[in-house]
Amino acid sequence: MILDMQQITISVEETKLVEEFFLQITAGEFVALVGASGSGKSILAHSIMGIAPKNVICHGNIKYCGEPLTDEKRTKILGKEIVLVPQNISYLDPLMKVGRQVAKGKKDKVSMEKVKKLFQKYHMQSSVMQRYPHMISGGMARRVFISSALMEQPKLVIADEPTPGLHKKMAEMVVSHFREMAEMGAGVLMITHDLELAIACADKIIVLYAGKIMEQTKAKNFQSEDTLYHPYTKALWRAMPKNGFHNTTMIQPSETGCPFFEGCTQSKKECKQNKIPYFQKEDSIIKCICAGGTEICY
Amino acid sequence: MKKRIVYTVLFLILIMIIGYFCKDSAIATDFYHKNMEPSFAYPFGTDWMGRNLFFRTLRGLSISLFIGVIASTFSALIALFFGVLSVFGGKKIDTVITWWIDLMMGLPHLLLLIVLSMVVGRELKGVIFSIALTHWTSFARLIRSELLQLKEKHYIQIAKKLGKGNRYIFQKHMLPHLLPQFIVGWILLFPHAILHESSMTFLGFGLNSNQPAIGILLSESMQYLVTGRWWLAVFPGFLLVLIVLLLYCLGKDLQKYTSQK
Amino acid sequence: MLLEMKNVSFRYDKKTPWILENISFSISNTERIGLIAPSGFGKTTLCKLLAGYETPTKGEILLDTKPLPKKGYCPVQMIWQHPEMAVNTKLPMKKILEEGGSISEEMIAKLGIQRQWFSRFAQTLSGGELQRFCIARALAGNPSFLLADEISTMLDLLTQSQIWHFLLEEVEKRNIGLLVVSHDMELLQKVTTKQIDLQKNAF
Repeated sequence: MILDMQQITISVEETKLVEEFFLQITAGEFVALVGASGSGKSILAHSIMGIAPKNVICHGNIKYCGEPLTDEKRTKILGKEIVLVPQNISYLDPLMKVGRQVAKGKKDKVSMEKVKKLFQKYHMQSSVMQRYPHMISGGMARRVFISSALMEQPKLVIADEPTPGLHKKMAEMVVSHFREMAEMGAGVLMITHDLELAIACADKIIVLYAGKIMEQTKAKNFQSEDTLYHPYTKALWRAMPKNGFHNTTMIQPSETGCPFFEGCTQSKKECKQNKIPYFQKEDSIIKCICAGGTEICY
Repeated sequence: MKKRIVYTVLFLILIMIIGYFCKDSAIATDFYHKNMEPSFAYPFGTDWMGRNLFFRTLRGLSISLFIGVIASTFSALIALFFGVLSVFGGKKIDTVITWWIDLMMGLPHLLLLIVLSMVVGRELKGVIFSIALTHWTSFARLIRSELLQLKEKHYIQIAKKLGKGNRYIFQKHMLPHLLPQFIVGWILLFPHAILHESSMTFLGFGLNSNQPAIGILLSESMQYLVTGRWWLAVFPGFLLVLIVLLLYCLGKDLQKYTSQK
Repeated sequence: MLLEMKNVSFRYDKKTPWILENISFSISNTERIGLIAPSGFGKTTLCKLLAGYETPTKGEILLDTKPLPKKGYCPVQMIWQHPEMAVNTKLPMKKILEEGGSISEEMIAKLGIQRQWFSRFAQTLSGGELQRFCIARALAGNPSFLLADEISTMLDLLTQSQIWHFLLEEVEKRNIGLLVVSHDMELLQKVTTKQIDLQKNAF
């Protein structure tokens, strides 16, 4: 187990952004965390990395390779064993050539040679190394980030929305690079709003709604509606253009009980009760009392 | 930080008020107690005419602050006017204004101040007039570039396509963004205005010598410095620097405060 | 009504390469056309030209044989990809909405805009919530054409389908021509009647 998170609550001042969150990633596994904008997924990535703003408070257990992930530990392994592939170019130093940033400031021959090789691997000419961040396109920037992540041998790669603004083919290519990293033995966590992309590449998908996990399931279960159990996940599936582009009325997540209470067709009175436990059904974990399965404690 | 801003402003206002009431005590002479070193009764000492330097300094500071307020307000308004005109007036007007700003900034500041002050006839109005007319340039440039940036924002372009005029866009969309910056810029003009007022007066091109401005106090003290009356220069000088620093910090604090919001 | 693009080429200045070259096509107010092209092709630029945000370097854009109005309300309205950049963060949402004109209660309800959002500022709303405001704002006037530039790429699937169902109903009812730019062919096939691949230049 590379990363094991349990009972995570993240709050800003009084508002809870993420509640009862859990996540396990093993070596070689590709996990996608899918949620709408504002569902609190970016803040999760930043909390794991310990780079969230100061007013963000994160409670719960985070274990990395079996040991608690403390701030002390983070300073040792961040950027080496755990790497973040950020959202956009603003994470690059605008005044430093791209090649040097990937080499993390090192100028020795071995590092430079490595950068060159990585750039070649991701179809970038070595002249790109001499460019400044504003001179590269969005797609190229993603590949620069990935090269940068691979300079060390990461055990855990966290990608925060790595594809918006990219053309579908390009997005698939970027994601395939993460796939490769997983095959090389790293755990990969991709945070995205694009469910279709996640289905195409991930092993495990966690669906987040209003800061809570609705369903954790295998990506292959998205091939048909029948293998999905939570009404919210089913609604997502039906809303895909290729699966009927089904319309739902616009609802606001409920504050108590199941957040999807208003949008659900089979909701009962109990669904508005204070706490909905998690249930295990086959290889899925669902936060819904109507779907069946055995109750588990998270 | 909010507290610090409030305290600084209160302190400055207090100095202005005290200075206002020190008008008479600042020029009262007392030849029994002349050339006294700082003591409990005369915290800053007295000068060769027995005038209480503590009151004179406070009065001087309040005069400086008063000039600072008026001159930088006018300066800021001129800057706003030219900044806005430059952005909305079309390409030709913009070229003329930027050229004019560059020209003004190329000239030596103090020289321009002295010439302008002489033209109007020195004294209070000369000082205010010349400071107001010379300090707007870099601020106008700042406003111009800020407005140009805002003009490119999507929501402003959208407002235009929804049929909104320049006036509406400036008032509704630009002003809320500009106002905090404007206030900060205005406060940051203060220290400049005050320092220039003092240096002009020190050189004899500013206020009249019967007014206890800081510049006058400093230039008078020069004659007595060699005879060892250090307090004549140290206290007014130190407080001038202190006030200027305070204003500068106030501006910077406000800048941080508004950018946080 | 007919919106035409005639032999339009565009570049920002003489030193930079052409972004669009010699493009012509037309759309009527009863049509729904989808444009597909790879990223970096200038899809957004194309929309900006059609909505009058930029003027073509060569060629012309005509609305019923007349050029687009330079001042005042533009009958071709564009909805942008990034709603958070299309709203002023210093204004409450109510003010932003009112900018478009008066908006019917029915439209607000259908878009799922909550009353309590009106007094809030853009920073506290999600992309999906903001995009609904932007759509309402664009529809509030009386546009003849609507350009949707990747408006749902950043949204989740539920919001995406909700917004599109609303838009389709609205343009149908009010005879508004709809031009949809997206990289998602499946989406385009659902929401438009005709798809054009810009790269193949099949104008």
